[in-house]
Amino acid sequence: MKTITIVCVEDERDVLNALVRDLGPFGAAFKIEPTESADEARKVVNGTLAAGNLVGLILADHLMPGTSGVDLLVELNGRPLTTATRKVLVTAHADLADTIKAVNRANLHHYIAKPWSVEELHAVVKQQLTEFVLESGENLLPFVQILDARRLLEAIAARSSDN
Amino acid sequence: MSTMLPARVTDLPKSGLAVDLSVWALETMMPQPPQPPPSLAILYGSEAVTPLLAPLASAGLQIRFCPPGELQSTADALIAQGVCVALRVTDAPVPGQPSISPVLRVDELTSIEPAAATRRIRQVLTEYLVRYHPAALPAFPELLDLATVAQLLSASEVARHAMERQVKTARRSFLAATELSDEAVEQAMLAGIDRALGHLPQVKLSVGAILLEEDCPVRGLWIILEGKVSLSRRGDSREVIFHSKTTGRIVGLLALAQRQSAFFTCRAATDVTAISVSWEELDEAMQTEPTLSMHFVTVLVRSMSNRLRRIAELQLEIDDLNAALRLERDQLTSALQRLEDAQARLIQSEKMATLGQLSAGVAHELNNPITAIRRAADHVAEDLAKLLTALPDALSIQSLINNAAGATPLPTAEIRALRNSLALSVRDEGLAGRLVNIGLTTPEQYARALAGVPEQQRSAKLEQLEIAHQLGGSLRSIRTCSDRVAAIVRSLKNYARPGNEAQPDIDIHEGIQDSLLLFKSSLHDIQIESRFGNLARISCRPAELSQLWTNLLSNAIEAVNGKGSISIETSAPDPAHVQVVIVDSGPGIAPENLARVFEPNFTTKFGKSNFGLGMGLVICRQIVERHDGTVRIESQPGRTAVIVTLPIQPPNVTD
Repeated sequence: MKTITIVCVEDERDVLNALVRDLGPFGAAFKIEPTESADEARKVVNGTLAAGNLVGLILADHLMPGTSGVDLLVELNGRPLTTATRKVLVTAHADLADTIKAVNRANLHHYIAKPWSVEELHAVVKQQLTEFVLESGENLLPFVQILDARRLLEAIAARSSDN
Repeated sequence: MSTMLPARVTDLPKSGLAVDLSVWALETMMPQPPQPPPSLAILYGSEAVTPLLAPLASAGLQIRFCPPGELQSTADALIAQGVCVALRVTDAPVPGQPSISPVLRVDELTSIEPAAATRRIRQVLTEYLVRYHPAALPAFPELLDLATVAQLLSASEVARHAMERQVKTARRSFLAATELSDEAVEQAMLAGIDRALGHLPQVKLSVGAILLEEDCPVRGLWIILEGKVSLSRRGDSREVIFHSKTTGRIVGLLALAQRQSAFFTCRAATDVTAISVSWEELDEAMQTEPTLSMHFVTVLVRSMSNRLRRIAELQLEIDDLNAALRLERDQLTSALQRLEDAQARLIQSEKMATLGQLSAGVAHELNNPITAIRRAADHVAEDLAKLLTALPDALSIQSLINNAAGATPLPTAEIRALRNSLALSVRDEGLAGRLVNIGLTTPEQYARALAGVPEQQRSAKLEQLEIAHQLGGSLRSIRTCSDRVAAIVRSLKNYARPGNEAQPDIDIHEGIQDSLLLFKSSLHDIQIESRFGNLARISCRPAELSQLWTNLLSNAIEAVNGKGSISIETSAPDPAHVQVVIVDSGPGIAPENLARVFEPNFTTKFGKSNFGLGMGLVICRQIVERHDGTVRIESQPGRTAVIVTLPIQPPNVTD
């Protein structure tokens, strides 16, 4: 079974730590990779894909030295193996033009404004990962406890009736 | 510059007015086609002459008795009906203007034989007819004294010569008219009209009465005997008075000359006494008074030239007024420009003052909670340490917390490398990640940390260590982040220091660093290089200098557009000055713009602004000049330097 990775990109280390800590509950079924820049995130994504695993979700800050979060998401959206990756901006800084670019060209799935509430973060991540695993065709059972159980069970039931 | 309006007198249309007039005047002197005989009347004021007039009863003219007091009014009434008063017989003095109608005294007639008296009456009437109505002689055979007719006819040759002389004299007098005053020419014309038409009724007009109305047909001339009139014409929105001083005593001439409706409205400016002369009467008068035409033309030409001169004067006045207006307009324009500049500066300083108050308020509000957070972090750490002493392995947990709280965390990439390497030996990537997170990066460290822990409790122990590590990390985050917030608050407070007083002993580096801190989020990929010299403290207005650095940095950040480098170097070029040089690697300022960047309202930015912080170099220069310093810019592609030099002890910074 393939590992599904959540990549976090945030240049402020304290914020990154807080994000990773708040994603803790998802750590049971997903591999969480904190990165401090778009370059590092790109390496992690490459490593993940090279190992034959999947990048399920990327949570990116926008304003960072080097490549911006939106540009990273646009880039990943253009690569076949990360087109399906769910893409979420976590930022306090993106202006309207950046956001429009992210929606139109990065297929942005959600925008979380800083500071986030842990409930909102969990709800968004749960919904996005549910979408990803449903599309990925992976075995859904390991995710039932962590993600949207009702939708996953309905899908499992549908699959078994198809077979 | 617009050209001066030319004085346009010479541009006025050349109507050939004078030529038209002389042709017209000559036409009126030419022999006229036969006309019906005039109605004639004799007025007499004494019953004594009734028998003397009886032989004329069938001669075809009115013979009316009037009491002496009514003679004049009856004559006026008859003239108004077009009747010519051919003779008046009265003892009373004849009032008013001299009249062409002859007068015989009652006693002159009654003192001679009745037949002689009648012949005398016939003589006078015959002379009148021959003189004023020669064409009508055949219509009144009974009236004529044949001896007089014969005498006059024999003298006709002489009379013709006399008339020619009269016309020549009149022409000379016209050509020599410059020698006569306007008044004299007008008097001569009046006298001529009176001689020709008899005594015309005088009309009294009160102030404001309209003699001629603009664009209405003109029926004749008005001759003003007393009072003043004004000429005006309706403009787009108001009535403009054109002539008051230059209006002569005769009005209606212009319309007459052009044979059209009145161009001006003529109003009585005071109470006016005037005589109205219709065109027909004027024609008649010109036929009988050859000199009248010449006087008339003279008056006309005088009147026209007066008005032309007045128009020229008015044109000059208009030019003067236009010049004055242009001057005033230029002054107003530059005053407006100065006002706009002042307004822009006021708005800018108002904006900065508002921003300052706002940020001071925000800074103050943030200060208390951040102080509480910062202190609470230390208190939590203390209380936690006390609480932990009750636990059996308090020491190791406490040291783990302290380590996590004190140390800067490793870069995520390094942690990942350590995790991957540890995973090779523990053969569990998840476990390796947890171990590396709590600082156990080798199998040996792992073994040491869990030494003596029974196998079934190892997982719980590891979880406990992880919690301790996270606690320490959280404490560290709270401390460092609240310190950062406190630093931003401090910068904001410095930046928005209330008031704008000059202060001694200011380290300009503090203001520069505060400004840099405020721009931190805008810097992205921009490399900032600060080279601060060891400078003397200066006297200045720190709030203004903070604005200055903020402006210059804002410009530099915009110039490099997200990628490039900015350097800030401070030095002392001489013992009395400090110098700040801000260099950016942006595209530079075009040479043609370089001279203009300090001008008000000059910008190369189109609607972009850095949260209103960039205020333009005009304000920068004003701030520097208020500190008796200088600012200049050197620019080439890739290197634009703004060089600010400030005196350490400015003479009048307290201004």
